[in-house]
Amino acid sequence: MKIEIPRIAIPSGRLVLAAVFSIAILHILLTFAAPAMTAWTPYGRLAAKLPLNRMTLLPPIGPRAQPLPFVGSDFRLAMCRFDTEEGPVALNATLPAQGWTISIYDADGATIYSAIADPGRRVDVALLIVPDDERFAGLTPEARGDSAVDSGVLRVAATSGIAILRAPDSGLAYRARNEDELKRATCRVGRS
Amino acid sequence: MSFVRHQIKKRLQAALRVVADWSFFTGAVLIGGFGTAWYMIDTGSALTTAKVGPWVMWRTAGLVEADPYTRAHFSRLGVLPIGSDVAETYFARTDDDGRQLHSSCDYVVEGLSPPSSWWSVTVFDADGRLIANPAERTSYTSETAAILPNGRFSIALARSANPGNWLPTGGAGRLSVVLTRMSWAVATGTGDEQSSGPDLPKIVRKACR
Repeated sequence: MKIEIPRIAIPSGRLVLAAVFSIAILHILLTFAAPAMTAWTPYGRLAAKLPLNRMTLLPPIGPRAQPLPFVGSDFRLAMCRFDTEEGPVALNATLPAQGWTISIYDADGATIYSAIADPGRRVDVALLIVPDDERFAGLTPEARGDSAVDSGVLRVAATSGIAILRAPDSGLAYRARNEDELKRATCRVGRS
Repeated sequence: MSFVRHQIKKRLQAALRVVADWSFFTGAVLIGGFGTAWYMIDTGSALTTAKVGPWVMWRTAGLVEADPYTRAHFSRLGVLPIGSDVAETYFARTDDDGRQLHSSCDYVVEGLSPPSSWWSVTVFDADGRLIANPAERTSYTSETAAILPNGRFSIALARSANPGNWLPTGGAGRLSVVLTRMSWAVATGTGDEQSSGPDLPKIVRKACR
């Protein structure tokens, strides 16, 4: 018995529509799942090396001391891995010159706060990282409808994450000053 | 007998048609779904990236309101980017003519050093690793590079030593160059660059081995 193989027919409009719809669903699922599908996250990689709730000055960045990909020697870094389980974490730092930045990332790598130095003047940054549940319990100023800035201390909500203070490479003459400023930055459990 | 054979033949043909439809459906969904997601996460589109010559900047990198593609892109790279509200971070994997950057070629990164902003140029291999070299030089900033009297700078990316600003590329293979620019005007949205577009350095290939 000879079976005729059916000629390749143009798929029906309904099938094409179903395929387009399914492509869109798969596209959305993959995009949202992609961060969770990575072998390691930046937080996971740094968490193993950083003490909890303490600002740590990292050694000068180089090929053998590179904390994360695409982090270059153009910055000297101090990092604090924080966890607000034991209470709010106070973060104090100074941005003394242009190029200095401070960023706070949650455990998923999303930025929750960032600031840049104001050229021509020193900027003192005082942050209080409060647990997420404290925010929802209505204990933070913004939850009560007040300003998030209280006595010069800005409150940000996060459970765990990493704060990174970046000092730009300004040349040999400024390395010692930059290192001193980075060492002065603090990160500790408490409200000051 | 011939009626039965005809019926069987019809049924087999119908089954083949169903298999063909399902194959089309599954193939299209897998290729389309994975392909479009990979493209949008890896390369981005005009909605998520700003492209100037060979330079690519993810518009919402490091922002709280980053779009899902940008989040996925940087998660995949394993990077904690500086927020694009305080710094512009541009990635280049090709030269100005669109050719893949490779350590077997010599390049010059040349551009204007705006006096009001801080910038850095860093060379990595394709995976974002710094390239080991005896000079221990992997980056230049606006404060460490030699700037010409006319305010322009020129950085050589080359395997062998070059006079002036030189970033060794060793035998790294494919290269990535990252340009970070910070300016108070950009951070506060008061700079002219917001409307006129940034004047970014050129990456020019000089020679290949």
